[in-house]
Amino acid sequence: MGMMKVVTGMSNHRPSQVEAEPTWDEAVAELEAGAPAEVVRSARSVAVEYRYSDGVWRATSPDIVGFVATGQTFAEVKTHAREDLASYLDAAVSIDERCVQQAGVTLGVSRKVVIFEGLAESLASASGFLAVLSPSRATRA
Amino acid sequence: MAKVDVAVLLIDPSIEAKINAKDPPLTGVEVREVVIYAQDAEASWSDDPEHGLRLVVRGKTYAGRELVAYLMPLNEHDPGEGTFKLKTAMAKPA
Repeated sequence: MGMMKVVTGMSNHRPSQVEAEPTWDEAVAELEAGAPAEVVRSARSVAVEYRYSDGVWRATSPDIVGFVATGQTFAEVKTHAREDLASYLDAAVSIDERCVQQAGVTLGVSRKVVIFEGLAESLASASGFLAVLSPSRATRA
Repeated sequence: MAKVDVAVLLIDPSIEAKINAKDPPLTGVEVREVVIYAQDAEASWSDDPEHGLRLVVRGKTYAGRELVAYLMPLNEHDPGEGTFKLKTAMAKPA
């Protein structure tokens, strides 16, 4: 059996250096003392998700904390969402709009309709609306 | 003035946890809002002998929170490449 080596010193061991966190004032001072850089944006997008529930359309975004837009119609919520985000987003940022499928969502009183993805564009036209209610009727129209 | 495009921001889970634990807490989503999407963000390059080259960015989130973020270029020899790692960030105290 070989001899066990005993660690007699820790001189080669250096604990990992933990960077001290700057304070808010230190961070601002460092920003203002640094070499200014012009922020430019290549093309990019944020996701906006539209949901319909309880008679109201609602828009939210997983990319923007606290963003909510509502409307009584899909066109209305889309307008509100775009106008609201235009005041915050850089001009290079586009909006990637999606309708979120919610099973069992009811439109109107007499019919039960399941909203599918792509409803956004379908509802933009009358024939598209018919396609949501009854695909066969849309074919004959 | 040099131009900088933060096209991609990588946030390590340990950094996300660090900024979540701050007072006031921050999230990586909020940092990305400012650094990648917001208009009116301002930035400067800081070349620190201890910490190296970093991009310091200040701006406001959609909800109006002002924050400063320290970014490190993924490739220090090509900082204009556009990919950065988040080193830390802090929100303006109330």
